[in-house]
Amino acid sequence: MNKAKDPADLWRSWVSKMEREIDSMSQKLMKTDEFARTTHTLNDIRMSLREAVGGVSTKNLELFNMPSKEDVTGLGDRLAGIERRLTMIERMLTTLAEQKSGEGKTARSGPPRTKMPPKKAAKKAAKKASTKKKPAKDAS
Amino acid sequence: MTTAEEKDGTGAMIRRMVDRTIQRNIKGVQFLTSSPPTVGQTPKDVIAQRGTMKLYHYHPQSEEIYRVPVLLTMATTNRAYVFDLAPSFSLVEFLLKHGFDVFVLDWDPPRSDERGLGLEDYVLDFIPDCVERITRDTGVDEVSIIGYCMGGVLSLLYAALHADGPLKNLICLTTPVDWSEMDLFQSFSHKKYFDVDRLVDSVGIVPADTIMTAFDMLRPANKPAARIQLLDNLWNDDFVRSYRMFTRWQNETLPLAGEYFRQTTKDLLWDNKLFNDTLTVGGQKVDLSKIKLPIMHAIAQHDHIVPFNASKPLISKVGSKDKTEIVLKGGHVSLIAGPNAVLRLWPTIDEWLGERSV
Repeated sequence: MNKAKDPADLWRSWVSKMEREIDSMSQKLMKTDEFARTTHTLNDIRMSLREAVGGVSTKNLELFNMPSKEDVTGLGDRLAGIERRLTMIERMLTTLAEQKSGEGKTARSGPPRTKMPPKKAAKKAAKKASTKKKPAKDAS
Repeated sequence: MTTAEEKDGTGAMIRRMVDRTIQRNIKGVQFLTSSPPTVGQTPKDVIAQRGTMKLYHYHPQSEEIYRVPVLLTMATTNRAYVFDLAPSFSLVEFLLKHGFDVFVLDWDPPRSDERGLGLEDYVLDFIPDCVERITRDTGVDEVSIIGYCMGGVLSLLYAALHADGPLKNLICLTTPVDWSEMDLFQSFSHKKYFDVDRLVDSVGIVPADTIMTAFDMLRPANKPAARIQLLDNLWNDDFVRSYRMFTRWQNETLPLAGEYFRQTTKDLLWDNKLFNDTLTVGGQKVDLSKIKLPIMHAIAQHDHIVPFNASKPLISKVGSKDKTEIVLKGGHVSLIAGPNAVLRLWPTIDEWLGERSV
């Protein structure tokens, strides 16, 4: 059988070897205490900066009579609250309608829920076949 | 091998290389100009939507279905369409074709007014609400649940806190129980250095970027290597389609409600309360030994997100007599989606759940 080696295979195996090595190296590094301390210190600095910038931009927006992120988020929250209440009312109305029509459960129609797992179905079929055969034997 | 055969082999190889290079160029342009792949195409109805929670009911695709419906519960960090990526690569479609009545609990990004959602909201409100809607919708008073990753944890907590409830069977897929074994996440959220309260109090909703960065850092070389692999396989339509679907799914990682993130960090990662039997949810103590229903746990052998040792103790912690653990080759995502899942996990679920769904 002709099986010439693809030169790109070398490249492929090098890539996956490098991937494994880099991953294992960085995982070792990430498990160290120094890594945790450094990344969380950097995160703290980033958060402090974010808070400082956020405060300044809110003041500037206020100066220009513009809504801040908090204002817009607040509006969103109020809309969400209205939506939530509407959903609650909808659910209550559905429950009331169901109670009024005397239906506790309104099951959706669909295929019959009679499916048996293949093994059980095969057993059932075999049993059915054997019970069908019996009267024929008796008759003979 | 004769010299003539060697020549033929080399010739075929050169022809293949040239052909693939041409294909790479043509398909590379297509890749850059085409829109992202369509996912989640199996016909369905949204039967409930409330804030971050969304419940789908998929249209049955079988002439008769099993008596007990099944609810797939997605991890809170990701979109549930990983269960329904594309025709013939869809767990949902597979289950439908094998006679299951399928419901999926999906999550939308939590809104800012949902920053206070905690474990109790997911376990004592969203999941019970879905289960109740399913029983009402189907007229059957039992439901099976399949929970993936953190969706598995939520399903497990639900099962423990509703021991006499309508849950008939539980399947957990790569579900962490011993959180002390999640060593890289332990490092990312180091108790000594990570001020989770400050983060949550400052952002309210933990951004998707933060979550995605944590996932990426577990295997930092993975993304660049995947891009190189993509370049190499640009000629292969199936590879490109699969790459794009999974990349899209990973890029659509969801933000997390702050309180939920805080609880997960403190109670699960720091104090390992689920494993130590000291976890309380909404004031109720979680005791996994109270779970007596049939349970199956599928673990991925090479899972880099939920390491093997983190999920391994689940089966020994539950009180069920009918319990099954399977360890399958593959990683965290390839366990549930992709060509390996089609051959390994899906038929196992079908067989195990089918026998218990009548």
